[in-house]
Parts: sequence; structure tokens; C-alpha cells
Amino acid sequence: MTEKMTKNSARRKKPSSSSRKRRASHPSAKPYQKMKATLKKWLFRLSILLTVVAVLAIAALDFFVRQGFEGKRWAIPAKIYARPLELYEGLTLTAEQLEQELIRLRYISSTGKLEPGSYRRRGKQFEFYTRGFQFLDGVEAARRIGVTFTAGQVRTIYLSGSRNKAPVSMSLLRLEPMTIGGFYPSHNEDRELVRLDQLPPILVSSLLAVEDRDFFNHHGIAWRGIARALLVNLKAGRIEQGGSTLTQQLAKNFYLSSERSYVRKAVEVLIALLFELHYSKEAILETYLNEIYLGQNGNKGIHGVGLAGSYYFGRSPEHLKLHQLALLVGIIKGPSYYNPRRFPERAIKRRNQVLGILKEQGVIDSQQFQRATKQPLGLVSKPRSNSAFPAYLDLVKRQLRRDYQEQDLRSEGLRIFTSLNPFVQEQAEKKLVKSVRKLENVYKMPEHSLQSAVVITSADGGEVVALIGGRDVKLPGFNRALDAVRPIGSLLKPAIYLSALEDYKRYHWGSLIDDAPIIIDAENNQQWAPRNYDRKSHGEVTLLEALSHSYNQAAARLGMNLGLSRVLDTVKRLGISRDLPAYPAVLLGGTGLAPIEVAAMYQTIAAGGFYSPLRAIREVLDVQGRPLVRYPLTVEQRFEPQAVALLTEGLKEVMRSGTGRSIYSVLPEHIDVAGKTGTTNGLRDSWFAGFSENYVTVVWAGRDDNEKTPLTGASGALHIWGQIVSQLDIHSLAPYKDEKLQRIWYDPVVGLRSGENCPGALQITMHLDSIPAQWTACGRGNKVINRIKSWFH
Amino acid sequence: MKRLMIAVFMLFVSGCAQNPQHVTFVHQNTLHKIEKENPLSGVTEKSPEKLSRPMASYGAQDGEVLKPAQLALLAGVKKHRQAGNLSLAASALERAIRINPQAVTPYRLLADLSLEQGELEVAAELARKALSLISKQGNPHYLMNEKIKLMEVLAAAQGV
Repeated sequence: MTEKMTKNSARRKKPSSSSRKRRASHPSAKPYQKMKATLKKWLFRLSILLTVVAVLAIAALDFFVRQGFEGKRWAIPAKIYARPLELYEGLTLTAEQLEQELIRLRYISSTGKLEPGSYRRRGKQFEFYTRGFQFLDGVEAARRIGVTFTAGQVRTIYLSGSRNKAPVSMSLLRLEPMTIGGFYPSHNEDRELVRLDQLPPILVSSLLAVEDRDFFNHHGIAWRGIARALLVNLKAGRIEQGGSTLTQQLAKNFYLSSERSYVRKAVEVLIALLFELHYSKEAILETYLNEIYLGQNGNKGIHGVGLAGSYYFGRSPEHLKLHQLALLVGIIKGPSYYNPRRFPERAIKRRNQVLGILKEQGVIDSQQFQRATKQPLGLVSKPRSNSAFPAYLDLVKRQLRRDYQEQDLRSEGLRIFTSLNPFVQEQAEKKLVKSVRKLENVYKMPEHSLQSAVVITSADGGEVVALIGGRDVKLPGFNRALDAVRPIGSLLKPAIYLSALEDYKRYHWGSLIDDAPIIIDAENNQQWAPRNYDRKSHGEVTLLEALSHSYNQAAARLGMNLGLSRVLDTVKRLGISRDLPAYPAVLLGGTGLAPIEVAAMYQTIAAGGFYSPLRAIREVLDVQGRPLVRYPLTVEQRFEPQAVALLTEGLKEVMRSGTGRSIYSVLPEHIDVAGKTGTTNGLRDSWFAGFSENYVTVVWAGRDDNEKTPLTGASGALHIWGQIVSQLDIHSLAPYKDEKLQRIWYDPVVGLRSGENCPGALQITMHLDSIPAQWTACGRGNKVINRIKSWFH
Repeated sequence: MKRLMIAVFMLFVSGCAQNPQHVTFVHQNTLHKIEKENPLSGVTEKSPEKLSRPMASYGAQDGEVLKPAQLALLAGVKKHRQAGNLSLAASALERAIRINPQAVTPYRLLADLSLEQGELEVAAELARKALSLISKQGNPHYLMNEKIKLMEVLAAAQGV
């Protein structure tokens, strides 16, 4: 039975050819045959289609891969730099300030041999090794420099020689500038590109030894590695290992997500093969070294060994030591897990593991291994985040957006050089924060209710050197320095007095003006009756008194005598492009301006009547360091220098005897500065704008909700101004020696020249065209005596 | 006679005392000597014993007092101009101005450069600025040469 069954089943399994014929001839077999034929036909068609699709897909992938690789491989963010510090003999700079600058540039203090990015200080003697930098006009090479100081100035700068070489004096040295921000791509990647031939060979050897020993022999895929990974994955029941070559890692980083699946792996393999088909091993390696993810700085990914070198060690890869290179190679395996700043012990262990592999493979010898494993990590401080100076960056970005597409800024690797002075900025920030808190305490204001903004520019040339948009100096947001348009009060008065002083024959500082109450017909059939701050009238006063004590009634009267349109024209010539409404209240600053606009106005005065548009950017270079655009220094004469010099004399008097006199509680007496306080109705805005020979500084203080404060211009903004300015290297205003101006004794009551000891005589600076020919009797007597005296002097 | 003697004596004393700033003086005509320096590096070949010298003043009779750093930059400017790199020359002049914005020569050279580039209005304004700096210093004798050159630049820029 069993045998029969076996035979039957065997028969069933293997039908004879005759039975096949029978079946074929059987009517029920026909549809089956037909179906089979159709199926075969469709399968054939499908396979053709799939082949075509696969070929097309591979061709498309190939195109995509080649385009990506050959075209712009990365979106390189635009980098924004602060001004480079220029060191020269006689520069006012202390040893402490130089050390601060080096620390800002992430130099490390060294007791041993100096390397690029390190310094050594012995009292007032410095030695440091610059990193080198490419500027518009060429490369400033990495050099070992010595600097000595004397009495708060740089005494000598010299190229520090080796043992056999004498030091060589230098007249000028430019340090590399500090990076203050950038325009990052939407995925927040950052990198510094490096070429393979720039990199130390040991870095490449270490990378290959640890990540892909067979790199130069395989074709993109390490089959043995994949087989091993497959085995591990099958055993584990899930995907645990990848077995990737450098080419595969690059394919993954370049085009694929970090998802672990067999499909993704297959595409990765395909891309790796295409890479190897089209490109040399060197090109793949160079691309890998620029692409590899090596850490995270806030929301920005650190990609490539170039940026990683400067992020972790403050120097480019060619200047890195063996132990530092080994660390970089080591953290490729897990940049978060081996983060050397967060997990230093873990990172050291991994670094030494890498060094062990290098020793095993004969890349380094035992001595090198011993030395390297004993080294500390040697990390520098973390670079500042992108928001280090948010208000200043805001200004830079606004200027750039006028001239560049956002996309270009985020991808073309532009290098933007600004005039930000980090020392001035930091001092201003520190003092503003402290002063605002102090004012709130002293005047019992609600905590965090007082806001403030600061703009500091160079006195000549209009470069913005510092800018603060609010008391939370590190927070981006409402930038009061640029956008808080608030009534400026008496800050407008210099425009009235300048309009008068330009007319030498009619006005000078000794001219009298009535400070009696005044009622002026204003717009919409209204009347405007400005009052003095002290609610008193001071009778006939000189223009100098009226300005220095900020008398509103006298200023309004003078403005109306001159004519509103003339004053508004002066305001425009001073650099205010905004159209101001032509109503009388404008004379006392009833109209609003932003602090940056006020800075433009006072900068024209500080520069002797020459207007320069305020600039934050000096130049923009492309990724190769070629100049794209310069924002050159331009000047435009808007006023006669003598008229502006006279105005400056008046503004100096404001500081010596007027509303700004409290400044000399923080400034030394010998320093001459000029400025003006501004207070608006209901004490809503407190302003101070002033300048020394080298800086123009504008401070606004007030509340965002425009509520009243207890602060005047003198008690609020001037206090902040003084605190900031006293920390800076300010130069006293140089005496003005123009031959057309003369300092004389004058009797304002009678309007005649007078003498030093004559009653009612006032010493003022006048234009030759203003000086009266007549003398008072007392003055004439003095004149004769003085002439005789002069013979013997 | 006595007044004349006093006047001569005063002139002598004031001439000796002419020392406007406490900075190293380098005569305009010695600019070519600075060309030995590398304009980018600012390196000057000096013997080591001079490294610790104080910042001396040598007295000014003719020409502006400029700092060695400015002179190093001006030497670079000359090279940039000869090579036709006018943009780099302008950039170096701006650096020189930043070192001392009251110095006339860098402004005059910048005006001259603008003239060469055909930017007449810019040249005229820069010349006016430089002239105002001379006036501000009281038209000192040692700046008269600069003043004459500036008047020439201004005249050329204005097409006079």
C-alpha cells in the first residue's frame, strides 16, 4: 500500500510527457496555458519597465550625486568680524587690555613653548603667537610677537626671534579679528573649509587607521564589513552595526537621514559606488574632512575638521598637535557622547584609545604615544554665541540686507568686516546694566521698568563702534538704538544755535536773547507756550547762557527769530534724513528720532561740520578672500568749520558750567568734552548726546510704555553716559586754533569789546566777522596796558 | 632796537620749542626710507639696541608729524598705487586715518586717489576736510606744503 501510494504520488509529482500532452489537449487546460503566457508576457514587460525605472533612477541619482558633489557642496554662512586691533607704538592700551583682547580671541596662556593662539605675560611684557589672518589687503602671517608697555601705552612691538635671531622692531601689527556672528543656513550648519594639502598628514593617517583602513583599496564598499555587520544584526534581531566605509559615511552625511533601514543602506551603498566611480579618493577624503559632524555649539552644528579645530582648540588643523588631532578623530564616533567639554574623562579615554590604534598600526611610535597620552585635552574656551552683540549684529544685518540676497548671505561664505570695537562695546554694556539698576534704586522706580539704548561712533568718519539696544544686552529683540523713535527734547537745540552762529555778522555767543515767556501761534489754530524747566524766566541772557542752561523760552524765541525752515534745514544738513513736521514745537525736540539718528546728527558736529553716513561695515570679502565691496570713508562738508567750532565751544560750556557739569564728578578736569542734555515733557525721555575728540556717544533712557520717569537728561542719561565714557580711552577735545576765530573779552550788555578785569566782561570765542570794532572804556585801557606788557613777554 | 632784539629772541625760543606732539617725527621727504618696510607686515629692519628707545621727537620744521605706523601704511599705499590696486590703497589710507584722524596727509592722499579714479566730488570733499584740519591747527608753517598740494587737488577736482 505504502509502495503504491509512493508510486502514485511520484507519478503525480512527475507527470510523463504523454500525460502533459493529454492535459494540453484537455479543454480545461487551455485557459491555464493562456493565463501563463499572459503572465509571462506581463512579467517580461514588468521586468523591462523595472529595469528602465531602475536605470532612470540610478541615472537621476547619479546626476543628483554629481551635481551635489561638484557644485556648491555646502552652504557656507557669512561670517561677521569685529574690527581687528591695530597695535602700534604709542597706542593707548594697557597690558590688561591687550590680555583681554587675546582672551576674547581665545588665546590660551602658556608657560611652555608658544604655539599659534597662545600667549605669555610677564608683568607689562607680552609674547604671543598670532594665528594669521587673511584681510582685504593680504595675509597677516602667523608670527611670534613681543609687546612692551609704558605708562598705559604700547612702547615697542617686535618680531620675537628664535635663539639665534635678534628681535626685529615692528611699527604696526594687526591682530586677527574676533568673529561676532554670522548668517547661518536654515539647518544651522557652520564650517571652515580646508584643503587636503593644508592638513597635517598625521590627521589623515589617524582618520584612516581608525575609521577605514582599506580606504585606498576598496571601491566604496567594504564587503567584509557589511557581511560582519549583517551577521551581528541578524543575531541581534535588529540593525546594530553599519560596517560603513568613509565613502558610505560621506554618502550618508551628504544625502541621507540617520534612519537605520535596509533600504537606506542600499541607497547609501549605491551613492558610495557612484562617488567612487566619478571621483578620486583624495577628493572624497577632502570632502569627508569638511563634512563630518564633530559637535554642537548651541543651535549650530560643527562640521568639518577646520571649524572643529578652531571650536575646540582655537587654531586651524595644521597647527594642531598629535593629541589634539587624535581627539578630533576619536569624537567622530560620537560627538555628543565624547563631547570633550562635557565629558572630559570620556574624551581622554577615547583619545588615548585612538592613540593606541595609531601605535598598533605603526602610525606613531611608543615615544609619541607616551607623550601624547600624557597631554591634557588642551581645549580653549567656547566661542561666543551668535547673540553676543545682538543689537550691533542687527545693524550690520540691516545694512547687508539692503545690498545682498538673504540666500547669498547664508550660503556664499562671505566675510564681513565691521567697525565694532569689542572693548568699547563690553564696557558700555557693563556700565549701562549697572547704571540702569542704580537709577531704578536711587529714584525708587519699579524694578526692570527703565530701559536704555546707546550708540557710540568714531568722531571722524562715522564708524559705529558700539551699539546697545536695551538693558538686556545679550537678548535680541526690540532694538531701541535703531527703532525707538522718541521725542529728543533739547538735543535739537544745537541746530537752533548753529543756525544763528552761521550768521557771524548777526550772532555770536555774547548776543543777547530774551528768556521771557513766549506764546507762539502753532498748527491748527493752537498756541504753543514753552516753559523753562525751572518754571522761571531769566530775562536777557547771552546765547551761551541760554544753551548751557538749556533755557527753553530763549531757544524757542531764537528759533522763531531765525525762522523754522532755517532751523529745519540745519537739522537736515546735520544728517537727519527724516522729514520733520514744520511746527514750532519741533524747536524744542517735540518730534521723535531714534538714538542712531541723533548719533548721526552729533557726529556731523564732532567732525567739524563734515557729514559722513554712519557705517557699521568696512568691507565684504568672498569666500576666497577677494574683495566684493568696500564701504569707503566719505565726507561731505555741510557747514563752515568755524561755525561748528563755535557751536562746540558752546557745547563744552554746557559741560563746564551748564546742565552737563556733573560729568566732572567722573571725568578728570583736564578732559574737554562737549554735549547736550535732553528731557521731554513729563520726564518721559532722558537723553544725552556728547563727544570727545575720538568718540560720539548718545544715550537714551526711558520706559517702553512711555510712562513718566523721575529722570531728567542730566540725572538719567548723562549719568549713564559718564559711567560709560569714563571707562573708555577718550581724548580731550583739541583746542581750535583757526585764525578766523579769536577768544576775546566782551561786554554783552553794551555789545562792545572789553577787558579781562572789566565789570560784566565775558570771555568768549568769536568769528573775526563778529568782533565789534569798538571797545568799552575799561577795555580800551586794558588794551593799552596789555600791549605794553606784551613787549616784555 | 630793544623790541627788535626781544622779537628775534622770542622767535628763536619759539622755534626751538616747536614740538607739536609727543610722537616720533618723520619728515615727509623721508617717506621713501620707510619703503624698506613691508607694508602689510609693518616690519622695520632696525638694530635690536634701538628697540627700547623712547618715543622721541626730533622737531618739525617742514612736513607733518606722522606716527611710524601711519608711515608704514603710506609706504604700502604707494606700492598699491603703483600696482594699480587703488582699492587697497584707499583701504590702507583709511587705516592710517583711523590711527590719527587729525593727520592731514592721509586725507590728502585719499583725495588725490579719488581724483585719480575720477571721483571728483569725493576728491573735493576730502580735500576740504583736509584743509579744515590744517585750519583747525592754526595753519602752521609745517603744513603749508600740504595746504598747497590740497589746493591743487581741490582746483583739479573742481575743474578750475
